[in-house]
Amino acid sequence: MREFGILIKYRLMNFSPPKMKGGRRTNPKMMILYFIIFVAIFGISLFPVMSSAFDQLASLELGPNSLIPSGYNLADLFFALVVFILMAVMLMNFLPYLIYSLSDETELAFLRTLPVSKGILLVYKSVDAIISSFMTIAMFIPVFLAYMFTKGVMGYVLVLPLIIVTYALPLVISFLIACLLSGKISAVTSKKISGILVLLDVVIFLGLIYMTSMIRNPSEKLIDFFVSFGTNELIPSTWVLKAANGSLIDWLLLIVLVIWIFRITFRIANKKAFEGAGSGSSRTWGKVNFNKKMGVMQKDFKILSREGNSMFFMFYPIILGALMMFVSQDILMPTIFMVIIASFYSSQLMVIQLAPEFTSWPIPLSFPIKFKSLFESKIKIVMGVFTLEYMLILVVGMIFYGFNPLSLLTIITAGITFYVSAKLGAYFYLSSGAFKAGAQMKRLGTKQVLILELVTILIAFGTIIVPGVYLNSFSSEGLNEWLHGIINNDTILAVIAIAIPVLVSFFSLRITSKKLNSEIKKIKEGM
Amino acid sequence: MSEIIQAENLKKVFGKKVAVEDLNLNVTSGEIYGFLGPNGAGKTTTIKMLTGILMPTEGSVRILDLDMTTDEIKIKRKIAFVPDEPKMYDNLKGWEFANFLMEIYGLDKEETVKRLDDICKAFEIDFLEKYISDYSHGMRQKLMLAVSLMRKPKVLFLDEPTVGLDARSAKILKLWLRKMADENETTIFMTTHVLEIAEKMCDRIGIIKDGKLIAEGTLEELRKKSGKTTDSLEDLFLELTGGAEFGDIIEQLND
Ligand SMILES: Nc1ncnc2c1ncn2[C@@H]1O[C@H](COP(=O)(O)OP(=O)(O)OP(=O)(O)O)[C@@H](O)[C@H]1O
Ligand SMILES: [Mg+2]
Repeated sequence: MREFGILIKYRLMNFSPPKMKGGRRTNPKMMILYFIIFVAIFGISLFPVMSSAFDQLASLELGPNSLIPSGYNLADLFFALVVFILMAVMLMNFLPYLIYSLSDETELAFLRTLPVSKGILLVYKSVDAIISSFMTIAMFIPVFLAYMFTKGVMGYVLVLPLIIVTYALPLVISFLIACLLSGKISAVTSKKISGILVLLDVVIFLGLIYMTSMIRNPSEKLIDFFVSFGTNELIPSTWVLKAANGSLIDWLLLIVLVIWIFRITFRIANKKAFEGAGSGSSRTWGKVNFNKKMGVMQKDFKILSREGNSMFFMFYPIILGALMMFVSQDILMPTIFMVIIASFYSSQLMVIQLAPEFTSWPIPLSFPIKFKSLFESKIKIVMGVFTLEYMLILVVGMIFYGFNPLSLLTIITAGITFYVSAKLGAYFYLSSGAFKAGAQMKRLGTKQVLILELVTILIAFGTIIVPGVYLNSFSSEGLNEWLHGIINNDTILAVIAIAIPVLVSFFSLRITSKKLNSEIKKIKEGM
Repeated sequence: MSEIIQAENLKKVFGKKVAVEDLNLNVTSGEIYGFLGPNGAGKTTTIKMLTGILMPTEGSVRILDLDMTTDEIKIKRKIAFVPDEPKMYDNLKGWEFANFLMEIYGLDKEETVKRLDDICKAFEIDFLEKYISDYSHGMRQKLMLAVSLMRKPKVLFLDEPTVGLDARSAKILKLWLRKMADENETTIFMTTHVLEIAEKMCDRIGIIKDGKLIAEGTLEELRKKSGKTTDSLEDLFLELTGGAEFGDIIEQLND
C-alpha cells in the first residue's frame, strides 16, 4: 500500500507538464474542483428531471392485472434500467482508456523497472482512466440521489455505499478484461475507441434526459419491458435495485463479487508483463498502398482522426444541435448553441492538430512547402467539418420543421466564424510558448481558454446570432415584435443585420491573420 | 568543381547568446564534409540555417547556386535533412509518412517506392506498417534515413546520423553515403562526434568551437597546420578544441 501511495503521489505531481509562464501545475485540488463542476453540471440538469420522473412513476396507477411484483412500483423498475445503462456506460468508457494506459510504453518502461508488483501497477495505471471517467461518476450521483431520496431515511443512509458498489462492479470487471487483453490491442486502437466512447457518453446523457421526459405515460409494452428487465435475476442492475431496497443478500453478492473479481485480477496481473502491443505488424509490405493520395490535408486529417479526443470535439456540436432541435422543434437556439460550442471547439481542434507538428520538430520546417500552409490545411479541415455540420442541421431543420430557407445565408458567416476561431486557437497555442519547452501536447491554460471562449462568443454573436435572429424574425411573430421594440424601422434593422456580420467578419479575419502570421514568423527566427 | 553549399558570414543569435558567428563555408559537388565540434559549439544551429529551418541573424546561405532568402522552397525540394533527434508524426505509420513525403516532394511514386524497397532491405527495415509511436529510437532513425535517401537528394545534411544505429546499420549507412557521393555526385554535410567516421569517410573536415570555425581542411592539411604529421584526428581535435587540459582531468580522476 505504501508503494501505491508513493506512485500516486508521483502521478499527481506529473499530472500535466509545467506551464511555461507562471509555472503552476495542475494539483489534486484542481482535479477535485473539476470533478465538483462536472457533478454540478450533471446534477443541475439530471437531478430535477430524474426526481420528478421517479415521483411520477411511483404514483402511477396501474391496472389490477399488471405484472409488477409486489413491493415494487414502476419507478423502481425504471431505476433498474437506468442503473444498467450507467454501468454499461461506465464499462465502455473506462475499459478502452484503461487498455490504452496499459499500453502506453513511455511510462510503463520506467514503471517496470521499479520494485513494485504488477498488480499495483495495474491499479496505479487505472488512475488515469478513473480520472477520465469523471463524467460517468458525475452521472451516477444525481441519478442515485434522485431515486434514493424517494426511499426515506433508509435511502439517505444507503445512497453513498450503493453508488460505490455500483461503480466498483464495472470497475473491477474492466480491470479483469483490460488485464486479459493487455498486449493484444494496440495503444492507437484503444485510444481511438475511447475517444469515440466519450462521445457516446454525451449521447447517452442527453438520451437519458429525453427518455425520462418521454416515459411519463408508459405504454403496456414498455411496462412489460420494464418488468421483465427489472426482475431478471441475472442482470447486475437487478441486484442493485434489490440492494437499494434493503436486501442483505444482494449487498453481500455485490460486495463479494467485487472483491473476488479484484483478487483474481490482481493475481493475473502479477503474472503479466504489461509490454504494450505492437500495432498488428506483418513483415511484408502487403497491405501498403502507395497510390493513395497523401497530401498535407490527408495527412492532417489522418492524424486528427487518430487522436483520441478529436472525435468528441468534432461531433459533439452536431449531436447537441440535433438533439436540441428535436426536443425544442426550433432552430434558432440550437444553431446558436451549436455555433458557440463549435467555434470554441474549432480552436481546441487546432491545438490538437498543431501539437504533432511540434512533437516532430524540426522536420515540418524542412518540407518544400510554405510553413504557413501546414496551418492553413488544418484550419480548412476544422472549418470544413463544422460548416458541414451546421449546414446539415439547417437543411434537416428546413425539411422537417419548415425553417426559413434564408437561414442558409448564415452558412457563410458560420464558416467565417469557425475559420477565425481556428486561427485564434493556433495563435494562442503559439503565443503560449508551451510547445517550445517539450510540452507540445499541452493544451491551453485556463486564462487563455477563458479569453478564447469570450472572443469566440463575441465573434459568433456578430456573425451568426445577429443575422440569425434577424432572419428568423420573418417567420416568428414574437421575435419580430421584440426586434421592432428595439428599433422600429425596417431599413435600419436590415442595414444593421447586414453590417454587423460583415464588419465583424472583416475585422476578425484581418486581426487574427495578422497576429498568427507574426507568431509563425517568430518560429523561424529561433527555436 | 562547383560550389554546392556556400555560407557567408553566417551569424545566429538567440537572445543574448551568440550560437554561431562569422561562419564561412564552401562545400563542393560530391564532397563529404565533416563538421566537428564539442557539445554546444553550434553544429546543429549551423545545419538548421543551411537547410532553411532557422533564419540566420546575419549572413547568407546559397545552396546549389540558389539563394535561401528568395528560393527557399526550391532549395528544400532538392535537399534532405536528417535531424539529430528523429522525431516524426507519431500517429502515422511508417509507410504513410513515406507516402506523405513522396507527395509533398512531388516524387515519381513508382520509382521512389522501388528505391525505398532497396533501402529497407539494406537497413533491414521491416516495420513500415507499424505506427511510428511504436518505434524505438534506432527504428525512427532508420526510417528518417530511409525516407531521406529514397528521394535521391542533391545535397544531404545529416546531424549525427549514426547515433542510435546498431553497428551493422551504421556500416551500411557509411557505405551508402560513400556510394552516393561517388556515383551521384551527392554533396554530404554531416556532423558527428565519432572521429573515426570523420577520419575515414570525410573528404574535408571543419572544426567549430564556440560558434566559430577554428580549423578546416583535409586530414592532411589539418595535420600540417598543427605541425604534427602523425597525430590522429582525435589528438588534433582535442588540441584544437582545448583538450590539452584532458591530461590533467584524467590525472585528477586517477587520484
Ligand atoms: N532555440 C534556442 N534558443 C536559445 N539558445 C539556443 C537555441 N538553440 C541552440 N541554442 C544554443 O546555441 C548553442 C549551440 O547549440 P547547438 O545545438 O548548435 O550545438 P551543437 O554543436 O549541435 O551541440 P551538440 O554536439 O551537443 O549537438 C548552445 O549554446 C545552445 O544552448
Ligand atoms: Mg547538435
